Amino acid sequence: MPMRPVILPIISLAVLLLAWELYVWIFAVPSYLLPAPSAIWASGTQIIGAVPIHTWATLFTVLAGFAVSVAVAIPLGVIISVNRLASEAIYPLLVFANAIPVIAVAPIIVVMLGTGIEARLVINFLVCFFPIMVATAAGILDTPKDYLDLGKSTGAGFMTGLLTIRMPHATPFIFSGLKIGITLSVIGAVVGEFITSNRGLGYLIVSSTTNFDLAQAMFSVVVLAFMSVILFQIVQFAQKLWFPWSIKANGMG
Amino acid sequence: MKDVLIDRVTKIFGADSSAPFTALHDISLDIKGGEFLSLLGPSGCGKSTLLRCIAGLETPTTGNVLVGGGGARPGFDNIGFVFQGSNLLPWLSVLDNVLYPARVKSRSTVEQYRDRAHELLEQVGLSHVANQRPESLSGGMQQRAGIARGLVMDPDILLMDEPFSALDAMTREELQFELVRLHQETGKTFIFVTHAISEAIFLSSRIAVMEAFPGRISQLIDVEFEYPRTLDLLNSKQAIDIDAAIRASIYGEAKTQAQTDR
Ligand SMILES: Nc1ncnc2c1ncn2[C@@H]1O[C@H](COP(=O)(O)OP(=O)(O)OP(=O)(O)O)[C@@H](O)[C@H]1O
Ligand SMILES: [Mg+2]
Repeated sequence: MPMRPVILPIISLAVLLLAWELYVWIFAVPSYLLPAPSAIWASGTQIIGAVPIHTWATLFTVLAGFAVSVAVAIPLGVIISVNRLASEAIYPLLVFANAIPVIAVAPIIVVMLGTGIEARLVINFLVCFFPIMVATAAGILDTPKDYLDLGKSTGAGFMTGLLTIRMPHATPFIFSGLKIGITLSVIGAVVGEFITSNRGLGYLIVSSTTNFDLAQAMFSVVVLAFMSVILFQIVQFAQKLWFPWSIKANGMG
Repeated sequence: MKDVLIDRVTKIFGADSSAPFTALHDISLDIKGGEFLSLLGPSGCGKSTLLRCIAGLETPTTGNVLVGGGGARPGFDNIGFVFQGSNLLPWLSVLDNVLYPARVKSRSTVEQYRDRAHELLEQVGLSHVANQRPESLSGGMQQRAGIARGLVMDPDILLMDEPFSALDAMTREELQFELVRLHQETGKTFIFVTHAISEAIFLSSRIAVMEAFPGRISQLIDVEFEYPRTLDLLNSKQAIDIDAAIRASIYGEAKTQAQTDR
């Protein structure tokens, strides 16, 4: 493996952190305005015992919300792409639902569903189902006519055609949607925790900032960023592992 | 071997729209089992449309296509289709592509046809790439795989829509020889769309020359050379006469004159 793509960003990051550290030092910026990277790290080591619990709470919401979204969005994407009537009947509603800023409805959802996991799952779902559904539908609709003719000429019925031609063709599209979805799912989970929770990295950020403990809040943000990147990479890896042909098909994958 | 009877087929696209377009007008043609028939004509004369009607991919507006006494249905077991681009599915290996028509029937059918698929790949010289993906194959190899796929279910009739048009001249000649050999070995009915006159003469036992606006058959020409054929037959008096007759039919007399002068 060539090392350059790994080493170069690490060097730029180190330079950035160093500049930040020096800036805070030289201008003596108080830590309740901008904590130095070393202070963020120190604060992280102080709360390190509590971090796994919060991380796990958030991760659970992220994964459960993502799973629900995928389970609903992919079949829905298929339905709206193959059925004109269904598409005309429900697609406008879905566009509308997606247009509502989730942060605006989140408090309403909490009143309706209480402060448990249900509310957070619904919030999460509202954030991440749409791109997955649209990507699925776009992939299905993108199926070349020649492929469909091949299916027809060999006598493939609707289901066989869907499973052996349309879905495989849509796979790279679906994965693009999943990669956007998993990232949005992290955002959705944090929004949910901002509104209602006594656990999770989102909760940790809110409670730290109320105490002006910016170092602790920023440490939580770093953990969140890592979670997001790792989950994205897992989706990418799953695609490489199970659908290797779908990687080259659209460049970015 | 099954006959194909095309009985007064008319195909109008957008029949209910404000601008209906007659792609095929009242076409009748009786194709005998084991024949190698070429549909030859200028772009837009309806060759593909006629072939697709035989395959059941289009339904004639009026008239019928009868295959071996029954109506052609999509996926009719007796018909294999070879597309212009090879139209291989990029997510399947070459072998699985060849087996695709069997996969459509059921998963267990695939196992039944596996030996047959290997045999066909051997015949078209692709055994060594059976497990590779189509993208790693040259255009000629992809087209061979497409032909193997058309033959895998052992259809009585093989329909081909300009299968060689995207290939370079050398690969094209090579595949023409192979196609004639396959036709001789299998004795199946081959229906072949092309707009290359020499290709039609070299391959076919009969040529249906088509004309456009509206799409119709203007001439039926028997090509009575013995199989197996060699390329020199194209220089024979008989072939030159056929060539001239086809050009006259397609371009009209004046154009033919101009071309011979050149
Ligand atoms: N689905 C369709 N809807 C409307 N018009 C069509 C459709 N398919 C074909 N046509 C028209 O019918 C005519 C015949 O088309 P066809 O594809 O059969 O021609 P062709 O002889 O195969 O031409 P080429 O050599 O360019 O492939 C063309 O004018 C085309 O525009
Ligand atoms: Mg055509």
